[in-house]
Amino acid sequence: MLKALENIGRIIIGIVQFAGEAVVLLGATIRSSILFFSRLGECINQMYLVGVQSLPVTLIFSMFSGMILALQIGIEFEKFDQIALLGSTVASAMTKEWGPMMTAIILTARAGSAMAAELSVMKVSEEIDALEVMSINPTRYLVLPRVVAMIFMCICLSILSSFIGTCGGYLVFKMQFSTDPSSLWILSDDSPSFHQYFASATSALDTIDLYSGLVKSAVFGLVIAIIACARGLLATKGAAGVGVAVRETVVNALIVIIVLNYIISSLFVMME
Amino acid sequence: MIRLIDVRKTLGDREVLKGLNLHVQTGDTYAILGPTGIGKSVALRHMVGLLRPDAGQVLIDGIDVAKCNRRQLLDLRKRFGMLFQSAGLFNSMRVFDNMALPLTENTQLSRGEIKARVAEALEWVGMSGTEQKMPAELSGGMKKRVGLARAIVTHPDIILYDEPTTGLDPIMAMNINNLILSLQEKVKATSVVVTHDMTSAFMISDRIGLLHQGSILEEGTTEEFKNSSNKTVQRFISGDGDLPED
Repeated sequence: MLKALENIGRIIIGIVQFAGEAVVLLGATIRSSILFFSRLGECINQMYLVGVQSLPVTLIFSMFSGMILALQIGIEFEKFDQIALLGSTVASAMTKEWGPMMTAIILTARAGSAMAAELSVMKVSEEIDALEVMSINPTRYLVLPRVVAMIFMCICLSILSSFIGTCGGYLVFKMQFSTDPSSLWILSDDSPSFHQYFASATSALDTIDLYSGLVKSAVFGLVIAIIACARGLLATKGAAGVGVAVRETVVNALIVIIVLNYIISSLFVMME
Repeated sequence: MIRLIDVRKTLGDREVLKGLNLHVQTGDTYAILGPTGIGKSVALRHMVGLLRPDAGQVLIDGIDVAKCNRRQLLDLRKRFGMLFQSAGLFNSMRVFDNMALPLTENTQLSRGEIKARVAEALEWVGMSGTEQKMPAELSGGMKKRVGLARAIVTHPDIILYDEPTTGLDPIMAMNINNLILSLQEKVKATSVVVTHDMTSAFMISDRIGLLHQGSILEEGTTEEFKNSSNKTVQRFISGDGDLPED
């Protein structure tokens, strides 16, 4: 019993300690951001690694998320003869929730873990210490371009994800619920289903909904990058330490993202 | 001049340094000897501010490293060059970029001047022509040489060597020792070498100190150290039996 309490206490201390380290790193990153242009080249390189390389998986995920969403909601709406609302529901859900959330999950798994692995390998092979001894601030040199790239690409991919997800919803709308599935690929105003779906989708979105999605994406990008960099820079104990840094990055980032998602959603609901 | 005064440091639940006192004169080469895991590298890292002491002072020409803020520390470190145990080369960069990095980040030198400096340092360590190689293409000894070249490329006042010959075969270790000696002639820097290699310590240092149980047990010139009457020192030099534990 005492041992269990001791272990719980140790876990809590570890969480608080890491949260403190992450906040300190965030502060140092903000302070070093005045020197952003000295690392513009690396920032663009990171945008490619984080964003462009994550694009295919984000598109596939978003498309099918939109389709699944439309399928499940459409079945219920059809029972109440409210299928015309499908476009607005899918667009709203994708823009406010699933686009940013889906993007954040993909970037955590794909780019956040890679960041943590790269920095932790640099840490255990004394490369970070070498930077320090060379009088180069690792926060400015390594963390800042990664944070900026992650925030920017998280926003871009979220916008794209929301759009593609909504389009995915349209495919299901046409294939599953439309009276005229033959006009699936005819994306013109002559097609009543297309018009019906996207008119419903665009009418449902307010400016505040768009802000909600953008704010979430920016916050999620920041969270992923700071957690990944902090875990990487705090890595110890050789190869095992690299594994721990990657695993903890994914677990910590996902938990923080889901909690923050709820908090930000609540704040925007209160503002509406 | 480097002075460590009553430095204490605990890592985890182990007190590694228990009142370490050390004095390295300007221009001297000082070797910190001791068995693996005794805290030699920990002492070295205090000198360049990679670790801060729990108590005591680390003075570099009178400046207390532990009391420096971030900016002062970055300025102070411009006077240092350090060879890491694993060489510490950036694996994602070519040899040239590895070596040019401290120059591009901390000096106003032109591209041509940086190229010349890198070529000069690589020539000093016998690695000319490797500028375009990646660290993964180099052997352990070659990495140490490039690491050494990077440590001296900024023409530092103080050079720290963390286990310069560890993991190398005897011939390569001797090459590195000769290299350190010839570099000391060229750059005239104050040097601190952390090693458990007796041959290396006797060959390259002016003074030697044996780190034992968290502090310097015995210190002196190379000759004084060789002829010490201290049994622990003699046991360490001859490699005869274990040193007494805490």
